[in-house]
Amino acid sequence: MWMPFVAPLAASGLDLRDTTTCRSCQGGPLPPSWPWRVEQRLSRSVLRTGNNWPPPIIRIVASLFTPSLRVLSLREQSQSDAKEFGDAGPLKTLKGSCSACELLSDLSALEGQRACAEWQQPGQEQSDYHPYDADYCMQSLCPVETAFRALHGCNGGGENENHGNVHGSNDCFSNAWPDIVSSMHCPVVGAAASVEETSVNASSSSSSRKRKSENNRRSKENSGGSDGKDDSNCKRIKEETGVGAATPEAKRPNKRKEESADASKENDKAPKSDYIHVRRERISQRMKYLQDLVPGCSKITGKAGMLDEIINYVQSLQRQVEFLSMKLAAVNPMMDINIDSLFGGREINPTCKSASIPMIGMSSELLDQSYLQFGSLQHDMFMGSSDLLLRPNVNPAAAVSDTSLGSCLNVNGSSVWNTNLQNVYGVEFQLGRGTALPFQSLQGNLLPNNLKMEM
Amino acid sequence: MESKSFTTGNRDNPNTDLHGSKNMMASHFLRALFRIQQTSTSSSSFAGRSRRIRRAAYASMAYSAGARRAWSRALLRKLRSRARLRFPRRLSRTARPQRRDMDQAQVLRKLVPGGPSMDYCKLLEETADYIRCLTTQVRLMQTVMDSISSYAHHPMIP
Repeated sequence: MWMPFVAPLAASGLDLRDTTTCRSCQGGPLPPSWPWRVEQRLSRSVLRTGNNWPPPIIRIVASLFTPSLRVLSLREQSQSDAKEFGDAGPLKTLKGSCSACELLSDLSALEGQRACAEWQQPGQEQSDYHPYDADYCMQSLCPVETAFRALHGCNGGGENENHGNVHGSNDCFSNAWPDIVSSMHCPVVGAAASVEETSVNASSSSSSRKRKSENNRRSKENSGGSDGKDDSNCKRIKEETGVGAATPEAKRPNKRKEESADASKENDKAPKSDYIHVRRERISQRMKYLQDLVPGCSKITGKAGMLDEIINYVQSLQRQVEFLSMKLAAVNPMMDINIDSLFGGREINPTCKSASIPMIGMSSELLDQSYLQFGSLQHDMFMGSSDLLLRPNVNPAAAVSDTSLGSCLNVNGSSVWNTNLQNVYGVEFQLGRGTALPFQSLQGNLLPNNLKMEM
Repeated sequence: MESKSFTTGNRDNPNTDLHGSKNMMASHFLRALFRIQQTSTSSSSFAGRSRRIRRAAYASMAYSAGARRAWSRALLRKLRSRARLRFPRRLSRTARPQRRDMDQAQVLRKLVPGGPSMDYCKLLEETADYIRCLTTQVRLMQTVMDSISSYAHHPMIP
């Protein structure tokens, strides 16, 4: 069964260009950057070491070195002799287009994960292959293992950016070679992608440098595509390349050494540049997040400027904490508060005294309510609540029976806190006497609650 | 009216981008605050009280963030090991002109607890979380402050 695949591989030295055309490319051949040399070298070493490989290994190896069309034909072949595969869903995405088009433009991380899931479904029928594959893989594919480990390590790092929904594909990508094979053909897709990327990167001709960076960016775009940060990241990567910030540069040589130690000779530069780009993208993502976090940073585009702003902001926040603690220390003696803990299950410190005023609960309501844009509130109600807040000797036993803070919120219904909160939390506060309709009920609730509190 | 998205403190509205553990922070801080108020006598110094309050603020921050974050772990370690330590140190650095790039990262590392042991990427991540937590803490303290002062200014309604 596998002869048709092995024979062309061994004989022709992977002259795959003839048999594969890309429909999306309008029947043109695969892109010239397809690293025939890399493929040939890898395949030769692989084939040299394993003459007696079982059919599935050969097939998997062949599929890794071939564009996706080969994968398709491979699966078709194995379908004929194996069991029912069920839904050949992932194949549909790969069908009829060259891997370059497919993987670079369409294979987003989500698709990869879906593909992995779908791959693994039919894979259960072929469970008999798994231990088989693993053993042979361990024995015979060592020269390739390090290469793929490096590849998958890089791509695992890259894929990790995509968080939740890519978790499946992370497992595929970041595992070592035997695990990948044993988890059916799922990694074939990912590994093909990784081979695509790295092989694209490994082509050393100067003309392909641009394509490499382009492909890298595109592949990173695809891997991080769901966020919609692609363009900005592109620009940022360009920026960073141009600006050459010192700090990531300082980190990169260390990482470069680690990577070069791991990577095989052929793929020496590929995982390095992948890793660097992944790191850059991560850093740029985090800088973007920080930009959103630090107020007034939207206009600043430079990295150094951003760092300055971040440092200033952190310092100002710490100063504010100090200042507020001083203020609180000054104000504190004026309060005559018998605040005991009111927490039951949610206590951090179990040594709490009996519950009295749900001040803490209410204050957490403050925090909760700040998010709820309640609109205008009456100031006198606020008085009442603050009175409620600070009155000593209040036993809100009834109110605080449920010790969760959220329930305090419901019990007290103190939307009045929003008056203060909106100022505090930066939500726009609309002072007005005309309360919105929804608040009528809340105000109605407030009084009975007050009465309850004062019991 | 009630936008549930804000409860997660997401980035859509940075102004209300508070930390997810705000409730825990509030409870811890307020309890500590009142403990300080109860235990402080008339003889205790203002500076000592303010120091205690500040430590309580940082402790509540660290406890609310838990052990998930590197900065909170480092902060908790600092709190437990050196009870007398004044942290953060007096910020006199702002007067000095800051050099670019390398020093910036160094300065950031000094500001964020646990900074020196992180790589740059992680440092940015921890800084973001630290900033969120700090803003939450600051707003909590402001709220408490405001409620106390408004109580002081407006007499109790009978």
